[in-house]
Amino acid sequence: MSDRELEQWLRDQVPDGPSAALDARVIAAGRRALAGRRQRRAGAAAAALILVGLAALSLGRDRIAGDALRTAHAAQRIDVAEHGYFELGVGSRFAHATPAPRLRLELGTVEVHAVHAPLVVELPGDARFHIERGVGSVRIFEQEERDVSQANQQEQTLRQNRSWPRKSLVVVLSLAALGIGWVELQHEVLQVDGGSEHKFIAIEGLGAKTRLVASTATNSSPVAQPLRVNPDTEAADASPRPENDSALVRGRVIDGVTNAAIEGAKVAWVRHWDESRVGMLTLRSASRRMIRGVAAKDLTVELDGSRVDLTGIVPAREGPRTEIVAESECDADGMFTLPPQAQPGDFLRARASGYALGRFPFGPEQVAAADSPPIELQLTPECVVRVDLAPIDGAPLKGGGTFTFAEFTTPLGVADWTVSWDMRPEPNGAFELVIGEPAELALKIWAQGYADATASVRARPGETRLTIPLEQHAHVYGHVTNAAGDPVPRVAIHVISTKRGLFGSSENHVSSTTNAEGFYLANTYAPEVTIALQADGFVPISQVVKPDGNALDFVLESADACSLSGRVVDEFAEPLAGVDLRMINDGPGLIRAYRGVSDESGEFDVSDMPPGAYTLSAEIRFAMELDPTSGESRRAPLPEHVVHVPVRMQQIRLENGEQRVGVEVRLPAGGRITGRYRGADGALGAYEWIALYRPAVLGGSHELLASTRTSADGGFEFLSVPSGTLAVATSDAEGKYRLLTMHGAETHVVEFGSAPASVTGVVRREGQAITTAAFALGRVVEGELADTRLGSLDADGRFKASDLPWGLYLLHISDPTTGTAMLRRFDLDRAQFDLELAWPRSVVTIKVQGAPVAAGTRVRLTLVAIDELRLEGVVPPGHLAIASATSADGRTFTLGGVARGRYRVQIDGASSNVELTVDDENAEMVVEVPNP
Amino acid sequence: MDESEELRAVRRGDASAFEALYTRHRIAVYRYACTLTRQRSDADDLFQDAFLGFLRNVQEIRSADRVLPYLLRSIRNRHIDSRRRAANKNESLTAAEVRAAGSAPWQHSEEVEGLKQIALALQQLPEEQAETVRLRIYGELSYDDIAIEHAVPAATVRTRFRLALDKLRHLLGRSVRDV
Repeated sequence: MSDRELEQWLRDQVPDGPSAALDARVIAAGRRALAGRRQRRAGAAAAALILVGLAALSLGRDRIAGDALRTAHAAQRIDVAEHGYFELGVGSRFAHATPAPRLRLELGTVEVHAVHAPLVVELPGDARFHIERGVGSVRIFEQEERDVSQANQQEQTLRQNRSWPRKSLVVVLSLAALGIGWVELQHEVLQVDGGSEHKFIAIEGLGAKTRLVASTATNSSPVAQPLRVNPDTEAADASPRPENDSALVRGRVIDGVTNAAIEGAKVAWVRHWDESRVGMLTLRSASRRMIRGVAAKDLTVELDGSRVDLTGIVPAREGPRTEIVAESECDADGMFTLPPQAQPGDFLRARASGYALGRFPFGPEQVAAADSPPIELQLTPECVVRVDLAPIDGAPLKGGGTFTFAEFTTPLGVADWTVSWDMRPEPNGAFELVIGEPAELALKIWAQGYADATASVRARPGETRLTIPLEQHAHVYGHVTNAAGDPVPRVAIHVISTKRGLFGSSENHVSSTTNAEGFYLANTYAPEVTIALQADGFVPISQVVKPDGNALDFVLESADACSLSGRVVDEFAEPLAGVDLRMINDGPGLIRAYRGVSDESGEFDVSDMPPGAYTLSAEIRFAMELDPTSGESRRAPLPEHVVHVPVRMQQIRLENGEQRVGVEVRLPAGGRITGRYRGADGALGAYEWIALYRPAVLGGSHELLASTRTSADGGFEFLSVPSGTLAVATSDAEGKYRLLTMHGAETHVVEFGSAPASVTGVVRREGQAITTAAFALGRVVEGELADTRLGSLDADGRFKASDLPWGLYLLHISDPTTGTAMLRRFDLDRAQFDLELAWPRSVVTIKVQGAPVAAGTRVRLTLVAIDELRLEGVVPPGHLAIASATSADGRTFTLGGVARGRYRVQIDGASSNVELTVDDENAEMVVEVPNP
Repeated sequence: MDESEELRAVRRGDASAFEALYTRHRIAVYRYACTLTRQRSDADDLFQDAFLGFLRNVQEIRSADRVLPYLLRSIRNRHIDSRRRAANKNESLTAAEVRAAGSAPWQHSEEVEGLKQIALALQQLPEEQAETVRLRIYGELSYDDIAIEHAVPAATVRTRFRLALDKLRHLLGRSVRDV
């Protein structure tokens, strides 16, 4: 493979590019970022606004084009008059990949809850601003451009310069935890003058619950009063969370084996977001009723005409996501507490060093009773598998582990799904694998300089040790000489080993060539390999060896070229020209084909082959044509409509120097398919593309054998068609096709089209054409007969009907001289349909059981169905009676010439329940019928 | 609009210019990210991050021909950062977490097997060779651009690239031969 091909191959393995959804997301985020830039350039300063009263919440002004982002947003109205403030929660699991969500706070009070990403709050122009309570760290910075991580540096600068207003503080708030996942601050800690420049603060910390208050600029008090939206609720809220503290959920984390309390275990209350969620925005009232908004992108929350702009929240990706609602750390007794607002589907995730991650349901049922005993969470010790890679020669691991990696596969029992991941061991070859739950692991080790190793281990709670021996690559090397002892250069050496992997085995080929001294060297991975040597002029060698570190020398026997000649004939012993014959060497090593082509007399000659075993294959590949200038015949490409499929002929072994002559290669003659194509208008269609396929078996794709274009009269032809089931297909809008089964050298006629067709035929009885019968012909259309034609056979015994549409027909022929009739069904699928019918010679004897019937009673057979085609209600009743007979003794009725089909027996007009089926039109059968 | 004009327009805040620039570089940047992260999901994050970072720092980019190198470098730096963060957190993922965080079984097939194979093979090369392959084949940088990025002569880049291809041919051996 050339470098160019390799490059292309490498390119092909990697995804083509971002998904459409990602495109839309990035473009949207980019547009938003640019829009922000434009606004700042314009120097737009927002006026101070007041957050008051009733708020109309309008979520998600989606200004972004792109299907993926057109998410339906909820629009809700919430009554906040009784609550006094909002809690505004902004989150996105992928916040780290986005600019910090940004909140422009005008005047009023906003409580920020559960901010996963740093939330940047823009301070209004001349307002004062303070944080009433909060947790996490708060930073102040000046330039909006920077994201929060860069703001950190800015913060340092501000501290050094002391250029920041005196009252402004950079505070990291961390007050005593109540043990319920968040902490509260009861009094003002931070106050910032907005000043003429916009300032920003960033609030960070998981579970942050920070209350921000912006007050009017005119209030000169150093400590701004929170703007009271509703004094009553504000007062009520002054008592810190009364209803929640009493309802804390308590629990304990213990070791699942020893039942000992686990100190320091972390318990997280985790909630799944549904799949359609794209980021999230939550608003909470003071009474903790949570109103959760949907996607937040370029979000404007309108509060009674006032606006809080939130930007920088990107949609999360699709798929189930989780969010940590609250966290708690266990005390010395393993106890933890969590707030009780569990929702169905929530769960607790407990983790502690040395234990497997535990998941426990935490729905409303777990928190229902406030005085219930603590929830007990049992953690099982982790399964640790310590693996040592030990080279079997006792030497340290070569390559320092740099080129070693291991793959672990854990069958999960879910369908065939396995999870696999890989890791790199330490330079000394040791590594540790920590598995959450007991599992059966399959390990596969690749280490440069060593044979691949596999091992399986059951990971149990606690520690499992495993040493995997590594076998060094063996080298296969030696000298190759000829019989005279001279080195043979440029001998192709193939070392083939069978590698058994976890899921089957594969062959590994390593190739090498001998140098001028006849020396070769090849790496191998396996204890046993097949080594194959090939060189022009020498007998190829192939043998199985076990590399043991010793030189493997070979002496090549010089070879005399072999040849094979003979003649190609078809099955009628006629010579076949233009047949491509290939002698393909069997066995390992380079695959080489030696070719010859048969001439007009079918003669071929393949020469210059080394001795060995070969498979001969033959394929009609060329047409022989006369060269007009030289007058000699020459090869020309085979026309498209001639199928050429190679036929694997035979195994031939050529001994050294053998010149085999007189080999007769007999190619099975192919079949022939001819046909005609008509368009929808009935006109014969020229230049239509017709293809011949071998239909796919059990999935896979259809194999195109040949194709052709129709000639001016719509005709087409395929030659040399192989046996088997084939499909002839058109490429017109209807995509019509016909299935056929070819046996050997048959000819099949396939017609496409819907033009009026004609049917002719002759009926013979005992070889003689019947001339006395009448016929009726009808097309079966949805259970009824249409296009019915009636007529009599002509003097030559032929029936004719023309101008018929294509379709399924029933032909009824009744012979008044014998009182019998026959029905045939056929598919009219070609313009000219010719039927050759033989009158049935079957004899059906009906024996009446019980009392004999009266003299003159008639017995009739009424046709019910032919094959699967039911005829009741399709064929007029008069045509259903196929045969009738009278009996002299009133017991035995004999009916001759009953055609194939299923019949019901009628005796003197009374229908019996007896049915009989005639399969063989030359057989006799006896049926007993009770006397009605 | 030529590329320098386009860059100027992006600096001014022209969203359609950004879109044009994005469209031109999206494939190279994304494919490069994939070979670093081995997983599309992680590549998605880096990819978005890189373009937004670009917009934040667009004033600092000297000329249009530095845009793609900038984006690729940004992807690389962010990738290293995220790896470092993951390491600092000392949260070696346990199998259960891998399973929990990983995609659902039916999404597993989406994991591009070829991509994983290539990323693993690249990891086995000396880093400067691997990076040369990533930048050249997936990042679509010219040898000269890579030379600027790596501060080495262009001839060195070519040598590294050829050595890398030879090794990859060996490492990927059978897969390549099966083509």
